[in-house]
Amino acid sequence: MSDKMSRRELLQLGVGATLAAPLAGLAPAAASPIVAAAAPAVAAGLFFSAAEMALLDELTEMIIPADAQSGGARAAGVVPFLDRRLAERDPKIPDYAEERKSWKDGLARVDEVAREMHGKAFLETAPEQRLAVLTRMARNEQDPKAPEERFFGELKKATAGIYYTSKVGIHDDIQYKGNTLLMEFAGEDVSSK
Amino acid sequence: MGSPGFGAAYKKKVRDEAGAYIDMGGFGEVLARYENSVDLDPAVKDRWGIPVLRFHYKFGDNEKAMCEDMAESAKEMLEEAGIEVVHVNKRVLTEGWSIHELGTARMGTDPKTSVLNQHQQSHDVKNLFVVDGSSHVSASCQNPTWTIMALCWRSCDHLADELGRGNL
Repeated sequence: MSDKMSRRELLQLGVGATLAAPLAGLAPAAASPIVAAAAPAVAAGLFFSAAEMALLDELTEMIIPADAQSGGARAAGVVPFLDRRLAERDPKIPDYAEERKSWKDGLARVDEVAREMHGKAFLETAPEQRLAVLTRMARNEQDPKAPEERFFGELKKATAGIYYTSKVGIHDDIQYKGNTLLMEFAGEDVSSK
Repeated sequence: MGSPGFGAAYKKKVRDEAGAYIDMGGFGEVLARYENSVDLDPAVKDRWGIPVLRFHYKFGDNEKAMCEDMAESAKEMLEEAGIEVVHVNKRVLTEGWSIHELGTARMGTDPKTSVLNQHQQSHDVKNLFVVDGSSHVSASCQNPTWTIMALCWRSCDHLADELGRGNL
């Protein structure tokens, strides 16, 4: 997905609030630590409700946060992309119907876990309480059993997959140079590391 | 991206490990185990009503120890080459994941413990020759086709000689 395309898609989605983030991502990354794009998406998506979009916005940013090097999941537009992808999954195909349902169920489960642990929905809890919820979801990552543990895997895989194929992830963060012609390959002396 | 966890530490780990990336896996010889066998499933049939093949098959201690050694050796080789090893996965793939169909009619001199003799001829039924990979007593880490062809050739030479002498 090209950068132009992503901004056009965002406009079509009416997710005005997230627009600032991809635009900010265009500025030279080196100048100063990038501040996390603030306003979470509150508009309903094509597939997710407004509440689900807001919940996903927070969860994905917690999985890949902005730091001094680059923007996070929010700046990369992970949630609108995911929303569009799922909206295009034709629910008449059983696998797609199941995938769509598992996202809705997974998000509902996040709020359930937050209520069990802190007596409030996820987004109503304090930052450290949110961290505790996500940490609990991630605890059996290699061998997930509980529904929220399985959902964490799905959520993280989607977040990472979208983020690291976005301009923010692949260029700003990983510093991938793309198809650059190298006139000389100097190599690297690993023995000094 | 496959690194565990989430948040700033996860993001940093992905970044640190991105770039030039290689991995290494191992294949090894699988020894025969008396407990391993195949039979016909009494209940499950295919779409033509023929009973399906049922596998009773587990890796033994030797395979497990070998896998452990493979992981250690691979790590050692990569480190000697100046490569930073960021992850060692010692998980052994499920039995049957990567296979050559070999064995079940092993070759041997004793009819009590083997099915075929050195010419891949049945101990019990003298005019029966099994000239595929069934005679192998272990499954090597290499592709077995040439060995199967060589043994088949040998069996055919023997068959032709014995026919010529009127012994078969």
